[in-house]
Amino acid sequence: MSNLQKITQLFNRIAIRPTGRLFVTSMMVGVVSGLGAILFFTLLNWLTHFSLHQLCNFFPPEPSGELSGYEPLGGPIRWWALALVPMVGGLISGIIVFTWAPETEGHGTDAVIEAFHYKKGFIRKRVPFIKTISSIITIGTGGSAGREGPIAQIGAGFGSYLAGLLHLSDEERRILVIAGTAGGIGAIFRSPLGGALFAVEVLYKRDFEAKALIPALVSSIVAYSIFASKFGWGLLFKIPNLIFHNPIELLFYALLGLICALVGVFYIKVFYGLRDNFFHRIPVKPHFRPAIGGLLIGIVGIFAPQILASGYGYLQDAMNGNLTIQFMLIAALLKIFATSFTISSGGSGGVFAPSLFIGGMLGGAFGQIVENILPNVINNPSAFVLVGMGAFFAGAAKVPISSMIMVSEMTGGYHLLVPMMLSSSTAFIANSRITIYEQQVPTMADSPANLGDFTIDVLDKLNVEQAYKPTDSVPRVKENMTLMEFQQLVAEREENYFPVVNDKDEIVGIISLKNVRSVLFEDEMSKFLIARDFMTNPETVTPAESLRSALKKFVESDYGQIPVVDMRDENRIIGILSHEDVIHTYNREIKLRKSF
Amino acid sequence: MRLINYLRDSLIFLDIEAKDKEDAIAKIVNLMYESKSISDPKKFLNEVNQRESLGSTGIGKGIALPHARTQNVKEIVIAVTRLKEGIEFNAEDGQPVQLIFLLGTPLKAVGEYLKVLARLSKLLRDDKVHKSLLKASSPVEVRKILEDAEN
Repeated sequence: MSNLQKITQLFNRIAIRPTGRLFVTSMMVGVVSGLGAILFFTLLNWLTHFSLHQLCNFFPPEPSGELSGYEPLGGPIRWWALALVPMVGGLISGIIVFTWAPETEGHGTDAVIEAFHYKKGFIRKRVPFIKTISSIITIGTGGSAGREGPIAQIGAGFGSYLAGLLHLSDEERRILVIAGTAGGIGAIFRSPLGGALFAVEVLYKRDFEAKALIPALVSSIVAYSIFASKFGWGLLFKIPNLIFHNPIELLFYALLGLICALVGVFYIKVFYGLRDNFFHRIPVKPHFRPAIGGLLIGIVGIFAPQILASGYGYLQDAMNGNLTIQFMLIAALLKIFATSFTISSGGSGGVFAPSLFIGGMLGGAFGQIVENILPNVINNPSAFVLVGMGAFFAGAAKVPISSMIMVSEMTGGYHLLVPMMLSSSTAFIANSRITIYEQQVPTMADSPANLGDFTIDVLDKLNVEQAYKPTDSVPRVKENMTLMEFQQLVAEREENYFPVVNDKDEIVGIISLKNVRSVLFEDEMSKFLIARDFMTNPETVTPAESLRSALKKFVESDYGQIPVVDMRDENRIIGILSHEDVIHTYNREIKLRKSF
Repeated sequence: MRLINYLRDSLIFLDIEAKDKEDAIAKIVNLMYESKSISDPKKFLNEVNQRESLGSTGIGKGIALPHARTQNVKEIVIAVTRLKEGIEFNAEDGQPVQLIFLLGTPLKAVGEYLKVLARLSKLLRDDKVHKSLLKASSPVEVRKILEDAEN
């Protein structure tokens, strides 16, 4: 027996119950996600230092909680280098991705969502490695993309791998994929709760994968703790003292939510429009398209270096109130194109960080405009930066809850939860369909991942009461009714199934026409055959019974209709439930759930 | 469906003496038990009598087809009995019954069971078959008569 087999056996013994086992496996996934985040972050910082600092002499501002420790050397920026470095980065990352994992083009979170819904949580082993390296190169050379995509793939990839190693079920593999996503994101953004919520929320446009929440939390706690032990426990951003105490402001926060939704739609249209109508049509091998995207962003970067890389430092400036309306509006607009150049051309990286940037800049500009017009109403325009960050991503990515939690955890701006709730909800409601994550499905009902579970879940919640046809006129057949009398009854009725009762009116059986058909018109038998001879075992349901239980009875008995009996008097027939009634009620419920 | 597949020589009983309907049925059930065709004769007898109380299975011309759905058998069992003399059976035509075909059927096999009953009642209404059965001298002959009739 190999060591691996021994470990697997031991593992199965110590964690027999899936819940207990999930706790342990989620922790293991969290450990790898946390370590992966450390490695990713370290390499990214190193490459950023080399390419942007040393080659270009460009020192973008850094967020207060994430100082790299590199002091600007002074002297002018090497503009020609700044124009070329992203192109070189695009070239290398493009060649890597399209040579070894061409199916992973674009942002990584979508790939994880796709694996969850359509691939039973399977992720090729090489994918996390390829995407990590290519993302570091893309972002480290100034590409406008974020860390959430690659880090989600690292965690999710390990979750998938671990599930395979331990021979876990498809369901557990999917849960570990979510746990990995949660861990990676919770760690790298120092947002453990937000990361966990994001991982369960991002799969659907209007739903949560609730059963994965605890594993996601466990993984996120572990990953965050590991990452923070290395890089510090502080917040990513430092903000001034921002509080919400004027309800009039809510009006403007709602308006900001609306603006975020509109610009979000524009962002998504540009993002995928450039991919499908521009980059995919350039007649070169896909390997070289990211280089073209890199060149474009480099050229824009000469005039507006704030749109390069994550841009977190500029967001920090916006929170500190150091940026003008004009600067922020231009930055938001250019960032939309910069992100599209980088990712839509086939470069690697996530869409979360650019979304924060766009939303933050929009919010900051909007806050200042309102303050200029109504100086007494707005407490501090910087609050709008934070709220904009959350609301923009809430609308664009369909993650209203995790979006505001992540922003709160990254900034410590918990006092702004109420305005964030309003703005995020407004943005989410105003744009409930168009999403930056193409692989998201509307609800749990739309995902192949939980088709079986979902059906059972729905059938469990519905009961016979909602489905059956109440009637007093269900024909009862006495057990001594002759075949001849029964022939007459059949001629008069539409039913295919008839409950049979004894002289005490107790149900003793059911006649199904298909059993009787062969002898129904045999005259020799019509006088001496009685109902008791051609009935089969009785089956009944009560109104309070779940449709799941009723469906089980249909399948086991092979009846198409089952009498519904009074709960207090099980011999009193109050209606008939047919197999079709169950299906109709189920379909009606699904339609209803999807319409929310 | 072939009726002949359900007939066993060991379940063909000729010239049994019985004083009335209850006695006849009880004797046949007992013979079935002795030939190991049913597992619980008391229960089975009860089931047959219960069915009979809901309506006589005397189909006329001296023939009766008592039967019961029961957990006592795993497949359809038919016992063919010719009584020494006819007995009162509350038959439709009021005639005494001399030929009794007693059936036991598993609870689930409704369709098959109805087909067997239909086939039996059809064959037995043929006067030739009827007369041959009354004259037959051995179980093998009885089976042959039914086999030929079915063909």
